[in-house]
Amino acid sequence: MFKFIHAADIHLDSPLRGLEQYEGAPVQQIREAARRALANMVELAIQERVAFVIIAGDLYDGDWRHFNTGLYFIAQASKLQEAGIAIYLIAGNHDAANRMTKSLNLPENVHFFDSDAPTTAYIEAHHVVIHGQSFATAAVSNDLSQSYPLAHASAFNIGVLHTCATGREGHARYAPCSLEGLKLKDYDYWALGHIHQRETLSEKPFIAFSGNIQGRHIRETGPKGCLLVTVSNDYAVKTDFRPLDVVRWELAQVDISRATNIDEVLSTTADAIESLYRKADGRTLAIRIELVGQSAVHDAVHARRHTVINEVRSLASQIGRGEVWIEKVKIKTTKIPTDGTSSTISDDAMGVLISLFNEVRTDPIKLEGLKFDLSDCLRKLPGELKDLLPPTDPEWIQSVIAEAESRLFLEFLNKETVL
Amino acid sequence: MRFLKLDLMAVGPFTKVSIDLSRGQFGLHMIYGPNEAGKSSSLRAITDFLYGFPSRTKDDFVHPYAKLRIGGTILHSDGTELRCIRKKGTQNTLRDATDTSSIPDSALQKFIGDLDRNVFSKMFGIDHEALRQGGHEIVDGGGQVGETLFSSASGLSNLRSVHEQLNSTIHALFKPHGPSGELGKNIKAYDATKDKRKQSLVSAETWTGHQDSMRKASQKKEQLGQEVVAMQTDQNRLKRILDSLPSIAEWRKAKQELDAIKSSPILADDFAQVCNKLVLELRKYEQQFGSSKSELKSIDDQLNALPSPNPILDGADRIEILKVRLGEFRKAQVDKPRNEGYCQQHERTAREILRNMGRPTEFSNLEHLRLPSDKQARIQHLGNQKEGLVERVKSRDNALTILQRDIQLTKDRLETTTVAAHGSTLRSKLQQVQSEGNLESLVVKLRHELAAMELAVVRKLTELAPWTMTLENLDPVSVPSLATVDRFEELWRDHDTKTKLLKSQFNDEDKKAAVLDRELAILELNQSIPTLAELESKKGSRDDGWKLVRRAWLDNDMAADAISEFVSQFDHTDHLAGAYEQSVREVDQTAELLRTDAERVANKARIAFEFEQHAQKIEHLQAENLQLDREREELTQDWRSKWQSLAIEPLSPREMREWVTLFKEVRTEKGILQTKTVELQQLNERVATLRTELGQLLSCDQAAAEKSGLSLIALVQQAISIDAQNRTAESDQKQLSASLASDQAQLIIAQTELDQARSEMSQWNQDWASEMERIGLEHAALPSQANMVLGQITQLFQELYDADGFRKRNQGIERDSSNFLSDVQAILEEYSSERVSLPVEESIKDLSARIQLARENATTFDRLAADKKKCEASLRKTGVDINKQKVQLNELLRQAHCEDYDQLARAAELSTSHKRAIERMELLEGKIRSIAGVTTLDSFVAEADLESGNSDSLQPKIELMSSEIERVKATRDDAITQIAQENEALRVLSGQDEAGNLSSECESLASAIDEQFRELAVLRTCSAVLAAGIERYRERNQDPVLLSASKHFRLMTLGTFSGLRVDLDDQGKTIIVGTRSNTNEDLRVTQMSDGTCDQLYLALRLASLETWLEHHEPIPFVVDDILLNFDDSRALATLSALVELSSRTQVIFFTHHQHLVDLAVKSIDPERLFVHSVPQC
Repeated sequence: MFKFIHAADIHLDSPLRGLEQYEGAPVQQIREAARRALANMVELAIQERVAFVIIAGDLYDGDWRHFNTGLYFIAQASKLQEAGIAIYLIAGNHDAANRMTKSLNLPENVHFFDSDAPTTAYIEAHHVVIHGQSFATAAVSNDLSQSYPLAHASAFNIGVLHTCATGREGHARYAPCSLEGLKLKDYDYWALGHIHQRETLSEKPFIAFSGNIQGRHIRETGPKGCLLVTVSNDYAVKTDFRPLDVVRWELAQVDISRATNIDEVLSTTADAIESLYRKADGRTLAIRIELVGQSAVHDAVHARRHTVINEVRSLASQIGRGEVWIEKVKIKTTKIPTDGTSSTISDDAMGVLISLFNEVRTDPIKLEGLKFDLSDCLRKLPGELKDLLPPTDPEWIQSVIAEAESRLFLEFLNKETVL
Repeated sequence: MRFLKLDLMAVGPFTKVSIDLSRGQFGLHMIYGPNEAGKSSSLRAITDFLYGFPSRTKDDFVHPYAKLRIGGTILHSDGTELRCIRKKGTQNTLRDATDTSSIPDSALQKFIGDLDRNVFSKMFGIDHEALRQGGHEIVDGGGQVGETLFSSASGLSNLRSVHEQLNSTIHALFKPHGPSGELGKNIKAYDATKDKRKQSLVSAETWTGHQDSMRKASQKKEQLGQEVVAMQTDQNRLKRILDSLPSIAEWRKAKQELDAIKSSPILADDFAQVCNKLVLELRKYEQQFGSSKSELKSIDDQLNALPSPNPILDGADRIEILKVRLGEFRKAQVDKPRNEGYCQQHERTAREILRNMGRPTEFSNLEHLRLPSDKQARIQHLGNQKEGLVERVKSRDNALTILQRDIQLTKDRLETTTVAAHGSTLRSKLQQVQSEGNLESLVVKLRHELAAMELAVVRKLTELAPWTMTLENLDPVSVPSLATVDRFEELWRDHDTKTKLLKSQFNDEDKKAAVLDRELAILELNQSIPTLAELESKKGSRDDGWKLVRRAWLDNDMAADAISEFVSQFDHTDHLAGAYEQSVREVDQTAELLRTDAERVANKARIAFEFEQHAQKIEHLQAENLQLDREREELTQDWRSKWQSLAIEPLSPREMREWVTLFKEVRTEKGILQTKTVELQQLNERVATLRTELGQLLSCDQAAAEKSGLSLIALVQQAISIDAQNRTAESDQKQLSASLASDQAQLIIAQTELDQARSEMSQWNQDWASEMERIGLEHAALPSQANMVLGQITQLFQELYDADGFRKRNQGIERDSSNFLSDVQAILEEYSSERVSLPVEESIKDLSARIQLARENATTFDRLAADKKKCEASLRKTGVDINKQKVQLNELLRQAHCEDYDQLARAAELSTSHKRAIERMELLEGKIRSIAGVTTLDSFVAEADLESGNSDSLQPKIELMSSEIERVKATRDDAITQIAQENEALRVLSGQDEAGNLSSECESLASAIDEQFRELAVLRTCSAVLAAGIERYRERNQDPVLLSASKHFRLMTLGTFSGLRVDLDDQGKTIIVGTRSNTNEDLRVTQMSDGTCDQLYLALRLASLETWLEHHEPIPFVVDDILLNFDDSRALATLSALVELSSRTQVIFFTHHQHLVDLAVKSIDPERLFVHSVPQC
């Protein structure tokens, strides 16, 4: 019996995205999150006395070539070396072009699979053979698994592959392969990388994506870590997911349809934050709050969005004792429709504004007809941000219009009262 | 919607105050209150009533939050009325008219529609500040049409500042040009951070390059270090050799000296002292041995002189004990006769007691008198019980007697108390009569009310003239409903409005036509201008002429009629040719004119076209006017038909509304009259019935004759008195019965207790008799007698016990004395048989003296024996010491190679010289070795001998080596410096780990930019929609609002301005200008006075409201002291405008100023103005 760790997509030193800094935010906790997650993995490997560790690609992040990142990996690899644990790793799309591995002298326990062709490593002590091939370039479009050798008889065969499998939303289509193709190789375990969401494709043979070890943005929510694989003497495989993440991303949808004022909205939100904080086992949390539901306070929360955001951040600081970062507060509520029996006021001055908002809501292109233009600002934005900003996203536009309507009436036109 | 009543039940300073706002069709209601009267509270009450109290209100200074109440009655235009109350709270704050249950807020929706609090307060409320702000805004905005109209329509007097604030917020966030806002700053910061991050990235190659350099430098440093060490070692060796040469020479000399004395033995350093000491001690020991021997002989002599030991010493302990027992023996001989006396005394006392008890004085057979302690206790216990038992029997007997007497008394009182039989019937009837109240006074009151009402109804009936009718035949008459009347009034008003509008349009068209006429006249002042139609007409005429010429010329066909007709069109000619030439010339001239004066031609064509348009419009307006006339006629006919059944000629709908209202009041009051008459009749019947019933019940007690003719009230008074007596009797009877039952129950208990006490007494008597018999007393003996006998028995046995004790003690004394004497005799016989005859005390003394002497002899013997032992031990020890000294001295003789003790001193001296020579050798060898280091002495000396062959060259050689060492050291230092530099470089690189932080900062800034970009989009959407809304409102409402506003403005400025119109400013924007009446000159708002601008704003507000009211349920317009800065004539003009508005909706005008009230009352029709004073609190 022996154990090994299957991890992937470490993206060492990749920053966490979408966290706007604010007073009281746990800034220090999110720095070096990927590093600390890797350290957690090393600690787990030593604690569990695993035979070896597999990293199925994307150890580094893209063209990130800072020497210190490499040194950090070497330091961690050295710890494993001291504990007699080997590392088998391949380059994925993100670190294919990264020369860090070649430039820095890796400890002897690190085995790097070649990119020219699949190669095989043999671990005599456990009768294990590991087959793997690194990406030669960032974009590999052919099925690398096809050229992997067939399984060695009387040994435990592991295939290490960086692949999109049959394709996954949100991930580039690199080195696609089919489940049938992988099974044909007759391996006992396929350690896959590239897809950040943990997923088991097959139980026998065991084929799985371990997911990344640290979520990097709000689309990567929930626990992140590695698979601790136990292989019995008859080569039966048992896997156990072990969380390694130090900052956990969570999406909290808060239904405020019962709220009658902002205080109740905040109270409901506080409950949601507290519930997530209790489940986080002391980790730092990055939470996105989405206020949803058909609500009587739809206009009020839109008009006082900034206040709500600040209040929610303050609540998070109190509840999380400085360990909770509010990534964003998104308002996705809807208005409570009127019963239709009341008379309309659409032809008075305010009614004209309401009509205009109704028109642009149903047809946002009409906004442009109202001399609405953001191109001057877009021109000044750096290219990569321009690509990230969502001014063409219909959902974004609708939320902007909803907030504009509430704020125009409640914030700007509601400031003085005669009676 | 209009207010009929506003009830300030508990709000601000008010408690139960009502303001009646029901008068007039809508009416201008002027509410006057001096400062601090609560005008502001009543103003706020209107909004708070409709929309609820705000969470914090200023109106709680008299009534607490929980008690705040505003009531109101409001009337919808369809006649629906709602009366409700508003309380302070968070939910269910609207309550029904009785304030007992809540009603939903939606009940108000029919009356106020979707207007929220904010829109209501802005659109339908105006105060002085808003008026001034509105005026200023118009001036500040230069009177731009869109903003001004929107502002006045929405009531947003600060629209312009809102717009400016919006724009400044946008600019603070982002400016496309110039200094960038927050967003721009963040974009710059993002770029800068990104650059900084790029610079902070260090490639792995750079890092490994530094590492390689450092490794090489380290190797070099290591190698040079080794070289330095080697050279320094060699140099040090030479230095050592140089330093050791003198020592080596000295060492060789010492070696020769040692060789000379090396045969003499080396002795210990203290050899001489040891020898001397041993010899002296030997002499001392030999002397001690001689003196010990003489002492031993002397002791032996003393021992031989002592007698042998005495055997009496063995019995010494027993004789000591006898000495002690002799004291006890003497004391016992003294005690014995005294004890005998005590015994006899106790026996005497016992006999005395027996005598007292009347018994024989012999001590035999007394045991039967002895009582165990439990028996004694029982007799004492019984004795104690007797008194209690006797007392209990006596008290129970007394209680029984008292109870029997009480029961008899209660029975006697019950027989004398009686209650009337019909009391309960009388009481229930009395309650019934009282519950119905004072019916007789109700009858009187109702009779009076009926008479008054009848008079009032008949008077109102006469007011319905010319229509005549009696009350009796009022019901079958059918009268048009108020809704019908309102509908007709509405139709009439619409018709009037349309007619007015039509007239106004007629006038406009006439004016425009006149203007066009004038333009045409000016255009053709010098020369008439041909038109294209004229040219075409002349061309047609020319072509007709050509056809005639052609026919005459080619076909020779002279159509005389046609030719003459053609020729007649032209002057100055009478033949075809001339006419044709003229026609051609005219065509040419006209064409030429059209070409050369194209601009004027076009102008004329335009005027002609517009003229035609006007003509069509006027025709259309005339058709509309005819249609209106027809509609008017149909309306009048329809109106009359509604009143045909009443056979009266109806007045205007407004007047007939009051008639219908009065008619309905009469009919309603008639119904009430009938109901009340029936009520009166029923009351009279009821009074009669009650009198009869009550009278019958009372007659049971008194004579029936006395009851007839009494009023119901009097009967009730009598009944109350009789009922009170009955109640008292009933109460007494109940109390006595309860008391009797209680006493009888207690009697049974008392009898039982008495029986029990007697039974216990009898049992006691039996027990007592039995116990008395035991101690020899009679059965009836008293407890005190029994106690005395018990005491005597106890004392008797105590005395006997004491006498027995003394007797036994004397017996013991005799036994001890006998034993003592026999013991003395025995010991005397054992140790001194010759003196047995002596008294016992002397015998014992003699024995003691003999023992003392024997003990002294034994002590002397022991001391001499010990001294002898000591002396023998000393002799043995001294002998051993002498031997030891001799052995040691012999060993020393052997070491020093000597024959006798006297040679030892010389041997010691030789040994000392030998040792000194060795020490010197060792010292020199050590010195040389310390210089030689690890090299052996011989090798070093040999090496030195070798190197010192040319000792003068050693020093220069050493110096040469020093300079070489310094050179190598310098090179090694360079390598060290390089290592330090590389180390520093690596340290700096390691410290540059801010790349990760900068990445995080970039991401953070990107998120901030994302958020601010969104904020920019939101704000720009607000701005764009607001601007578009303003423009759209202008497009839709500009004409009607400006038309209506012109009228109000003219009125308010007392005709100084004839109206308002739209013009273009210098930037080409449309603005509102006022036209001066006297000069017909246009005045921009920036040129108007502040007051005029305020009036302009108010005129626009009123016009916008009127436009709104055309399509909506009326909502009251609430005005708060807006006329502060108006002079009286303008204030009056403004009030007139408000009166005009009050025909469309209710106007509620709050003011602090009495003179405004006076002004209004003096000048405004009292049917349309209603003044209320805020009640003083």
